Amino acid sequence: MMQRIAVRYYRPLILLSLLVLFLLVVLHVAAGSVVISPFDVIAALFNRPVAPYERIIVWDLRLPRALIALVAGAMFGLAGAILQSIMRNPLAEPEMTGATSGAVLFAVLWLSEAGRQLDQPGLLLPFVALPGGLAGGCLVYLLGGAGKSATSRLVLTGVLISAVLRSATSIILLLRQEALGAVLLWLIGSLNGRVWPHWDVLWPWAIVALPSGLACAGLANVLQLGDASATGLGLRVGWTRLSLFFIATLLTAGAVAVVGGITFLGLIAPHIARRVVGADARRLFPFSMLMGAGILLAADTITQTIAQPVTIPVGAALVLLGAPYFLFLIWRRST
Amino acid sequence: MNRYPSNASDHKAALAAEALAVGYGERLVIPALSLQIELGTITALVGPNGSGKSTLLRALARLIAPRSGAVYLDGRAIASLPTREVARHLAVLPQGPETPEELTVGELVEQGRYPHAGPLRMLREQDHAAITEALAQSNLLELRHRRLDSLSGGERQRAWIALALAQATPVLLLDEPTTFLDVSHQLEVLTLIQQLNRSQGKTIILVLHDLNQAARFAGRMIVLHQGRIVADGSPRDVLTTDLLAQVFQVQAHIISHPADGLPVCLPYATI
Amino acid sequence: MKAPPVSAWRGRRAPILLLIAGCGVLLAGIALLSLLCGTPQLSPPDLWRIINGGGSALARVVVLQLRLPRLALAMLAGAMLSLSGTMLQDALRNALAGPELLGVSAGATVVVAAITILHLAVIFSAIPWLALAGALTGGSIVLLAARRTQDAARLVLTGAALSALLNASVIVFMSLGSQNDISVLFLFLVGSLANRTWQHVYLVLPWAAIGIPLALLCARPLNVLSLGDDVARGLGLPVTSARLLILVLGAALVAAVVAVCGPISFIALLAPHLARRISKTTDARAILPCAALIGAILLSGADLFARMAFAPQELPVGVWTTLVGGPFLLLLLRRRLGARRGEP
Repeated sequence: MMQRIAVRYYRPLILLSLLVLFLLVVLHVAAGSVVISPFDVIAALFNRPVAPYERIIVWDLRLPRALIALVAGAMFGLAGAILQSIMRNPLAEPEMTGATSGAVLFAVLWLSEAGRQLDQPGLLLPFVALPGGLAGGCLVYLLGGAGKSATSRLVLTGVLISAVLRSATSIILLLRQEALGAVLLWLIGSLNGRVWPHWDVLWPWAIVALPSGLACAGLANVLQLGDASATGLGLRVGWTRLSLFFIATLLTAGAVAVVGGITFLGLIAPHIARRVVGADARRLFPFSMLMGAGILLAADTITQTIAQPVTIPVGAALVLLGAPYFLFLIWRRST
Repeated sequence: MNRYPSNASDHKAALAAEALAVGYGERLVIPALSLQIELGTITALVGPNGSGKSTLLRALARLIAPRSGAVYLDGRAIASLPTREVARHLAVLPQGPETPEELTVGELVEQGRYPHAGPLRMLREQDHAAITEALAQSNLLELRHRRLDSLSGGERQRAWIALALAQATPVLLLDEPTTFLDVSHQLEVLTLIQQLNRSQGKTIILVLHDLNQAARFAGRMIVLHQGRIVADGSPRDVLTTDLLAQVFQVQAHIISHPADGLPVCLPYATI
Repeated sequence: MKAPPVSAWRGRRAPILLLIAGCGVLLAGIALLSLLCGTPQLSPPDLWRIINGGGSALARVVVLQLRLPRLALAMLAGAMLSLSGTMLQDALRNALAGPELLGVSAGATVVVAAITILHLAVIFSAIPWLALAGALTGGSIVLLAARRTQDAARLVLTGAALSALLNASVIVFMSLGSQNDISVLFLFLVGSLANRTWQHVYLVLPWAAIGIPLALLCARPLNVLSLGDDVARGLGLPVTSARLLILVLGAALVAAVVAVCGPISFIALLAPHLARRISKTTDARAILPCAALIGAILLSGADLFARMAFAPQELPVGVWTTLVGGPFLLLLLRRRLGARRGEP
């Protein structure tokens, strides 16, 4: 029922969602140890007169974080939607591309080598993590993607390669135990201390990967029908599946490089989106992006406001929030 | 047997196979098969389990690549054509298709326009017209917005047929479209298929394992046994007690259907 | 029609016994090496002396208090893990079933992690029971979710998703702890046999002493189950309860190991496959003992490697089993997956 309404009023739904996102951004910027009123936030954003310290907080500290949350969330949401489409399984998630474990491995390598200076590595981290993510994704893609029955093999390869990369990471962490503390935060996923340089790492990938993913919605639709039908409709199945997988890897690697190993977002956002707008990728993909962005923003806002002065990393908050939903989801599937 | 493509233009063959060898892994299912399907006919591929009928259909639909030999679509080698172009001439409905749960009938049938519209182009008027027509022909207009998982087996199968119809191709290949359907749905689907042939002149090839259905709805029956064609002709010519004994290992009576005189076989014992 | 396992067993008795004997020899060899190698490098005569009550005090301590319990634990744990893997794979008729992929290990790990970080006051001997509760919870969630499907990939996906959840929870726990806690927990999470003493062995021993024979007794029901649920029922096996009991036993074996060593991956997945490949049969009566032996060999061998490879630095065994086991499993299953799905 909800699906029918959502499909009918799709455009208004999208506009409404964009509005909600904007409000969330404002809220996010407003929240924090120094609370700025939303009106002042909007004023600062639009260059109206506000107190100078508020302007600094908004523009230098909070806005980049909010934007990163917005875009990274969208990237996770889209990556998850793409993977769920090509795997034809609502439990597929970006972790399976191997991009997360690859990014983590490179990040850990870098952190343990760069050693004591904890601030510098923080800024350069995304640049290091990104190739790792791509490498991990390519590894899975190469080992698991070739051949006809790619789906099962891709799943298994993704899971196993991720496990292997994680254990390689463990070796390094065990040899350099001092890196452990710094890495941990990143492993869970956190938006702490994300500023404009981090944004600069993120937006080029977003600009390339997000539109590519959206453009492939039509292809994903045909893939969903099964390999035989898709071929019958004239799709080059193997090539298409791998391309989509690659785009999902790009999205995941880019987001993880800046934000860390946030799990769940890529699983839950598309899932909720699917329940609202249905399985048609042309609607699902954009809505999943918006959903991902919204969830991440909301979660980060919550961690900023509640639980002060202890800052829970946003990844932890997502696990705490996502776990019950996930269990509920699994329960639904079993009945 | 004429060789292609020299006489391609004279021939009325919509689809042809020449010296086709098809297999999976180490198993060779079809050793060497040649076949011509004429435009505007309904052909049924029948045979016991493992005879290669599904394999043949899949090879004809270019879903599997043959080991040797070739398939020709309108006189051109199918392997040399871009797959989307093939999809504009030939539609295939595979066995037991899987669907994502939340897809609606309308969304499914829309996919049939992919070979024409492509992934990026918005649906044009002719696409919408084709979709509506496909839904009308399969009697699914009222069910357009229903989710696939809320439909009965027969309705779901009709939705997949509507998908193939929306593809608007002159040739249609169906792999066991009636398996797992109850009797009335089976007849519903077969009648629809027959109608498509009569009113639109579509060339149809279907794999059936019910011999009587094949006899009733197809103009030509091709019987496969161990990857070879052992009989080929009208149902009356093909359905004989000898054939049933040799290929299907049953003793049967063949009678004339009281309604229209088409042959009906009644097996009563194994050999 | 699949040939009933009985005839395969009869015809293969001799080769199987040979295989078991071979494994026994290999195991003994590894055991010997484990006792000999290390920082006080010993020689066989030294060992002989120690067994007879002599030898230097240092050597005695090293062998009897450090190496021997560690070896015993490795063998027991290896056997328990592989038995569990075999039972899961046969009961679920799924080659990819394994405690690490089905959320069983992850469930046990979360519980143990919580106990460690939160410094919960729990009696040492109660930990395996709590781990079992965690293992069962994790496993049953996955099984319930994937219950209606035979598709291996589906099961793995569900398990991976749940494991991701549980692992993330563990990391969350870790972030709440002190630096020291984190190090301890991290080492545990990777799966290690380092510094395991007789105390640990005694903890696992009752579980092994009861669990291993019970597992071996499951051979017949497993054979019947492998014929399909309907056929099994027709043969008089209470399918649902039998499968449930088998799965619980499998989880229990894993839980005990996780409680003491942490989640060591891939032994449970690999050993059954190796056992089936080498013995060329799927009869559970042969596979169960073979897999147990192979598991013991794999884990004690891996532990030996972990100790000696980068001496004096020691890397936990769990790291090696994943690094080597993961790709190996991938290789083993690649062709199998390709043949199973898609192609009719």
